[in-house]
Amino acid sequence: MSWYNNEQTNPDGMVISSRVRLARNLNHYPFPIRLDETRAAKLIGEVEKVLVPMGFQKIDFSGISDLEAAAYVEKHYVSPEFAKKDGPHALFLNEPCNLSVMVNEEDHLRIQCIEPSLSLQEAFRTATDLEEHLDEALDFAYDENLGYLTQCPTNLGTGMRASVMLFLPALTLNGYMDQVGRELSKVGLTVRGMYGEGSQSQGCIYQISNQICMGLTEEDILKKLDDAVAQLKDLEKQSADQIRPGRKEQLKDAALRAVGLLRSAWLMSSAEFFKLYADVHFGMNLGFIKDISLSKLNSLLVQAMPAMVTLGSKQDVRDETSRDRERARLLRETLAS
Amino acid sequence: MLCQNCKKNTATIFYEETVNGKTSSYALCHECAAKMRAEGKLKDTPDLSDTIGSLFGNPFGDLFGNFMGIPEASTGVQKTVCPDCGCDLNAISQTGMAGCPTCYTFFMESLQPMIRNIHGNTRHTGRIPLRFKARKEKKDQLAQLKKELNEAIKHEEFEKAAELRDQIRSMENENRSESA
Repeated sequence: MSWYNNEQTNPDGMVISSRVRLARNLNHYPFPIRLDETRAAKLIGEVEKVLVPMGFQKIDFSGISDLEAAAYVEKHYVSPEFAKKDGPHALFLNEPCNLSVMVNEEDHLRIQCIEPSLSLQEAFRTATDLEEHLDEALDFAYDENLGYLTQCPTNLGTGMRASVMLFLPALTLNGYMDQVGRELSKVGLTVRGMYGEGSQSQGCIYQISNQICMGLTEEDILKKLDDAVAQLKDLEKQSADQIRPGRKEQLKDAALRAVGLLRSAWLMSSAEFFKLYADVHFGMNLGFIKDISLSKLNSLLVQAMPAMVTLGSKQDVRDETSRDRERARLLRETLAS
Repeated sequence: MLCQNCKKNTATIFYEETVNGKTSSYALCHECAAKMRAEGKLKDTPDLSDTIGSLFGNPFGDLFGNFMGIPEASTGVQKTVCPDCGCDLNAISQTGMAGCPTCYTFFMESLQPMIRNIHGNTRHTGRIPLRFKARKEKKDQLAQLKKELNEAIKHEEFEKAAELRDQIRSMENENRSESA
């Protein structure tokens, strides 16, 4: 079962998902920036020989539509850069869809495990198990001082980015997120939007990840991130407690109205959906709404996105109004009382 | 490509000289280029990698901008390229990306200050590939034995120290024969 369609998702209302990504490159191949098409295809073949017998599905990104590629971004299986890339590049995905390997992204291999809720250790173990299988068959580029060699020097060392997707409405509402970002950067962590580097935060959802990959062990990095998440959860609770009773009543009103709109609207843009998602989720965290399943609500963070809505519809929904109509139908059905 | 002078080392300095409208090209290794410079036979710029080393001060800001400002000699053009992918420091600075794994060892001296600025250090401490594991275990074991040897000497336990010394010697010999 995928990370976004899982009943266990988000038991505490703040951590939506956890992800660990390992960057690996092969000796005797230039990095993707200088890799010609023949060698890029050969490299995909080398990875395929290991992963397909293990039950991974190969998705050749040179042969799929822009819409299908965008849906993989919305599911967080590939980066937006990978979806837009030219030349041979492929995704290998396992059956529960928690493990994926992007081949020829910024690095030759980006091994990724994504799990629902706060499960960094589990995601790390799963990703490293797969990495060890690949290590037995492939010649990873490594230097005893610099660690795993990566195209961009910012990923040298462990080549690991661990990240947690968090819902932080009270800190956002009270204007603390800039300060949170500054404090996190002091301990080598960074705050980004929902789709990682370069993306804006929507619906009070943020990705917190490690900035530094070298000089710390993978366990150190995970601990640092786990500690930061624990502190952020505390801060979010404190921030919610600071909200005045009058303001709380306004939030209750906004949450209940949002439920009404999500269950009844005929047209719904994704921008409006994100706003309503945040109102409803915050209302649930504050105890105002009890008849909506949080895992169902969170599954919409993927299923109500533009490419997913378009691909999931039986009708032609390529224009914006048709897509908004289809999104509204999906929301009504998913959140029906 | 081999150095045109010694015909042994890989050529890393590519130099063009125009005299009276006639252009001659040279491909030299570092050592021969340095020797020819000292003898006044090569009138190119000083070693570019030395100059770049001092410019890699800021990983995200002026680093790459400043690099582009390095003046080229009016009489010749010098280019140091990675022997595996043909990438030079100019390309690395423009894109912020290395060309291949070998670029890191080849341009290590120039890239090290930038790596330190990004990560705060240049020493990896995490996981290692399977093929490096046995080597690392031996290295760690040797370091531990040396530590124990120092302790034994400090406490005047000479019999133990002699045993440890023999163990260290045997391990070092083993390593030497493995790498030979």
